[in-house]
Amino acid sequence: MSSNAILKCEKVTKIYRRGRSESVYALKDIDLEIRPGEIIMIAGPSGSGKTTLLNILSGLDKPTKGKIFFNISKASDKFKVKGLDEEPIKKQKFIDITQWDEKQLTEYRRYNVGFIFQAWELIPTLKAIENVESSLYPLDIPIGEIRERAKKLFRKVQLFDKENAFPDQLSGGEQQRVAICRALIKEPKIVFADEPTGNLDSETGEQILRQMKLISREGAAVVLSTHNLELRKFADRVIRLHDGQITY
Amino acid sequence: MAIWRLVKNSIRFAFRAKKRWITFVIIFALLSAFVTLFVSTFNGYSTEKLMAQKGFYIKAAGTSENAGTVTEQQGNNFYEEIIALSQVEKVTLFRYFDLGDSVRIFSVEPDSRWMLLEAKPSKIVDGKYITKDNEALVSLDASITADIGNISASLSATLHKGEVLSFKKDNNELDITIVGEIEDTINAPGKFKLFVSDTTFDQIQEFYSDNSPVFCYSIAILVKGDLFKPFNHDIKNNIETLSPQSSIIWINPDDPSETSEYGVWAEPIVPDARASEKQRLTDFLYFFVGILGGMILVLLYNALIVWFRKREIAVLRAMGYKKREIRINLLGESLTISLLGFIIGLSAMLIYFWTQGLTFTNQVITPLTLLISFGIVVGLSIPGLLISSVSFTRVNPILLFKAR
Repeated sequence: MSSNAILKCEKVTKIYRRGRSESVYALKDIDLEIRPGEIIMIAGPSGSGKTTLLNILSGLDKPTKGKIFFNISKASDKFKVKGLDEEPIKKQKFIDITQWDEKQLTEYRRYNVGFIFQAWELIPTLKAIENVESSLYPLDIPIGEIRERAKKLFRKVQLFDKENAFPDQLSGGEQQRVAICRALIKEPKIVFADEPTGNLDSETGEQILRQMKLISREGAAVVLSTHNLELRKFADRVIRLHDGQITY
Repeated sequence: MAIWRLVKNSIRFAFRAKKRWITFVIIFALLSAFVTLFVSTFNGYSTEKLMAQKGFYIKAAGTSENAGTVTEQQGNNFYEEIIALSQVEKVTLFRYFDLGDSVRIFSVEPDSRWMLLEAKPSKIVDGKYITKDNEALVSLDASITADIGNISASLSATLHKGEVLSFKKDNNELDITIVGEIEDTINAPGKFKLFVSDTTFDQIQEFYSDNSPVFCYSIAILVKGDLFKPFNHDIKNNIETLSPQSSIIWINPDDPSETSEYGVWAEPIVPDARASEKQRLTDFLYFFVGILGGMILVLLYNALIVWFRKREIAVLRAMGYKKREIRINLLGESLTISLLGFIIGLSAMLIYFWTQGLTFTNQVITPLTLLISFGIVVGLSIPGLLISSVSFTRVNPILLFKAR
């Protein structure tokens, strides 16, 4: 196991039951290592298992078989303090997150994981800047610091004067950039992006990916799924999935 | 600090809502109004009906030209005996005297304005009820036409709201402002009626002490007991105990043995105890219907809020919000909407009844009634949302990975 990896999965398999007897393999024996600062593109046609893999890596779902190891030494400092209750766990370097319960997985996502969705999923009743800040509302961080971080991110993704706009007043590209800010404000270790350019035109899509490239340079690993292989120039690695298996 | 931010966020959720949230505010406003009605805050126990619920009213006999068979002294004797009874909360004695052939002056109490049925606030056609000394109500369109010696109307023969009536004797002068005009239902044809406070009544009477005997017009008795207590029979028992139909001699005005002391009293207006009990049972049923309906609506709303906010809940869960934090978010929104609805509904009802000229005593809007209404509309949101929590724990953030 590479000590440099932040997340590593071994023989991850996900089986869905259809009816009483039929089993469908959404993922089969997936081995994958994710290192800080790299962009991994998971490509494949619809139904190949891309979304299932993201769900499992991000702690939203559990695999039927296999293990996913999270590198505690590279975890968020706050997670080390608050997310890991037991001393023996804190002393481990890699820990299998498939053994964690819902509460621990929530802590894992709270401090270490950022999400970017295809449909952006901004909260319509919150302004753009409030959508971004809402990631940190439950954490004990002063509101001044939260606001400062949010404004800095808005400048970074070139969303000038859009802080007080509501989502429905923003274009698709602008909404996706707000979603990126929301994912990044808590300084996650891994960002999962599901078809982040799926609802955008090609030019805006490329802008978004360039911004993701910038994110990865700051140390966060980015795992994004897409069915558009033309975008591979932005990735450090491309993993092709077909029928739940890696084909490379 | 973090919790306050979540609460603030939930209020944003509520106030920046789309049409459906405004719809819910309206629904909660209507619910508040109906629940309040169901607990009979306004319609069942308005001050107009208070006498029918808690008291009765005894009139002196002969209120026409041969009026005044009960003297002030006899009335006071009656008053003293009744007020001493343990079942009695309040007794009010209404007096009158005739000034010449055309003017009759009544004493009323501003603090017990609803106790004299012929001069209760709902009888006011124009203006307001008297609130202090040197104010008066007059019978509508009644004119001072007779020779009334040293009384003079300031502007016209017919007195109206806003005009001043001056009483003069020797070097003394008493000015009384007419504050309202009242529908005349007192059987004393051709007489101009003036209703003033007890103190002013005594002052006017003092001017004419030599030739103006005072009589008792009526007596109103209010019994002890809380209004809204479905299983409390205090009021009913007290009314029955005090009822002139009973054998208690001192309030049986028709008993010949008492006439020398109390004078002759007309048949009293007695509340029907059985009807009163039936009304209370009906109100109690309404109360349950109100509670049940309110509970169902509040629980339904809290289930719906989880349904409507499904994607937002999924986003928050994906971001790592704990269930408790999501619950605060939803509860804040739910409470904001229901509280807003409660305030709007209650205010609208108060304004409506105010425009209708209905008046209330402190006994009508009791803290208990408000608490019940608030509890149903707003308070139930808390258990309602806790029950609905089961639904949102089933919301899986995975749904966010699926296109809308």
